[in-house]
Amino acid sequence: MRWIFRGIKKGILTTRYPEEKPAYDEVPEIGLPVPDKCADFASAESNCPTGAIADAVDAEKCIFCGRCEDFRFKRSRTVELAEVRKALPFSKSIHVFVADVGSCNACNREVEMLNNPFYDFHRLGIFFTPTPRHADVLLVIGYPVEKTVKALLEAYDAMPEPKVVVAAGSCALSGGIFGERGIDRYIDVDVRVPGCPPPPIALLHGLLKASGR
Amino acid sequence: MISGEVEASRISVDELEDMAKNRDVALTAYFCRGDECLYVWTDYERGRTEFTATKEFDLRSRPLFHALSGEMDAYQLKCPGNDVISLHYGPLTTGLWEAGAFKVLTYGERILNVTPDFGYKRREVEKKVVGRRVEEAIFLIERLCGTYSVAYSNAFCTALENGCPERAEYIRAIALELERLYNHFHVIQRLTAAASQKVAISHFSALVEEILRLNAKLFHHRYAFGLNVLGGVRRNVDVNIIDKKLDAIEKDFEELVNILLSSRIFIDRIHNTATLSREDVLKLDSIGIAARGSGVKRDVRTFDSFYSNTPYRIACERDGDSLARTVVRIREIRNSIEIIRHLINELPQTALKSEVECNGFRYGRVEAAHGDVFVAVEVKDGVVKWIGIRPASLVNYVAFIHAVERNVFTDFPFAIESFGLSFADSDR
Repeated sequence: MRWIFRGIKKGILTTRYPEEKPAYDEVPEIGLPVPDKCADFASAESNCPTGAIADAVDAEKCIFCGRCEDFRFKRSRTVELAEVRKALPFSKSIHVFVADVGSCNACNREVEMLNNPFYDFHRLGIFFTPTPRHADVLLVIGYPVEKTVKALLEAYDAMPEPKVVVAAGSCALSGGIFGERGIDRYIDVDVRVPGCPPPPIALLHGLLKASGR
Repeated sequence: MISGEVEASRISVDELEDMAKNRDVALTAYFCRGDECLYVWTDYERGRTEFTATKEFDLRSRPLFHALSGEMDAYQLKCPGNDVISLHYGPLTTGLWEAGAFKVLTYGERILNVTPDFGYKRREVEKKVVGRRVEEAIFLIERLCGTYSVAYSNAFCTALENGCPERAEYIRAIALELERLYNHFHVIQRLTAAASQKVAISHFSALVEEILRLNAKLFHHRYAFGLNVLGGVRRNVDVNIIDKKLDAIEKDFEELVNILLSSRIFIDRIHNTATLSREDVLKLDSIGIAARGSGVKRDVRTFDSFYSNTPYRIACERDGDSLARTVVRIREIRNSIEIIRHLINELPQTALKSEVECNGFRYGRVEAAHGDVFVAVEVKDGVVKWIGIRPASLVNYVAFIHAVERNVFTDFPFAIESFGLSFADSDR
């Protein structure tokens, strides 16, 4: 009984996303660095730990460390950067199998956070499934460690058609700070969600895109 | 935030044996550095960290040694009998949320033995850090375990600095306590999830999210990556944001904990689950929450001069079960909020960063949410020559293995969550 009153007292926390743009509270300046007018490109380039800054900022390589802010780069508030190559042919409800192939636990936490009342991804018809047999989407996070990639490929084979692969986080996309190889060396990636770690709004965006919404 | 020179605190084996005679000296770390074996010992009462470099000291009495040298199989039960079923649980399971596996031995209902199977997340952080410039090495160390990133980068930075500007030190401590808060909230959330208390899960995960959002506003990163830089911090903090948010979080938390702890169903699940006695802690050299839940006062903050000026109090319980560890966490949450309040009130006006000349072989240690993390690093002209990291999860996995024995299967999630262990942390 006390839980119920407590819940009513707390009110609705859930974001209006995707009907409305995310509020400042949901996404303060945690997005990709954007150069100022007088940004020092040369120094930023030589100081970037992953080589994400060349003529523009490469979202897939960027690890969002904030080092380029010393050279007059600003952080944007846009985190919806996911790139889509293929989406599922149905859009009502999708089941997601999460495959961690060697993450630092931050991506795991962000994926887990999709479950909390602030994002509540169930309202959009997205669900986690403990088995790849029921999954439409394979969500891959982390730097590919050989030993786990084997299990990942097995899980991919076990998934029924049609299926899409979503890779989230700079480690899965480009290797990030850990190395040069991303997950696309082993498996075709259909939706790419940058971030280190990608905040829940970005993950939500990526998963919605994967279901063709 | 303890640091010092390694060479200055080297002692001989005789001195160590003298020390261990009438005091409790814990084995903290073991590293192979070239042909030298480096053992690290801690006297938590007096706050001394000592190093010895010999193979002759009798280590058979120290079960932790196998974990530190990477032989987790040593904890596996040998010849358990004919009726025993062995399971391999992992690496891709939604239950664990991480790429990790457990080798389980059981008769069917009671767990005989559980050993974590590492290697599924081995990113070889230490190997990749060597040869990098210190400024870049910090980014790798932060990503050793993302959810304890502030503790690791803090330990690495303090190891190399000879003190940093006061304001930077305060901001670091604020970030560290915020990290402790969201990790403790998260552990309580996981415990309620294991007990299927769906409403409580939502409430507690909302608290985690509140802190992460606070982090995002303050440090431009939800996990405060990139905050700690050599010689100080990258960003200033806006005190007003924390102050307002903290009041709301504290009020919410007190109400929630009140309801949660009056729920018999929840308490029954964690009471007497995965009990770790005081003797076990001393034998297994456990640290952090595991030790404090069993009545052993092991906390790096007790001998940190920075914390002596704050309202920090050690939280300690005697029972050693999951409930005791949860109560320790609840008390630490209250204390952390108090500490953050004190820190933002007393925030001094100094520079954020100072120049640091990196050279030498030094160590740093910081109390993370689950235990103390230890980093020893050798730097020459700003380039890392050698690094040894002793994550806290690795030590407490040994405690977990011991505590979970003879428990039933349904208690497994309560046992593992109450320790707050992470595969990414130990399987670096």
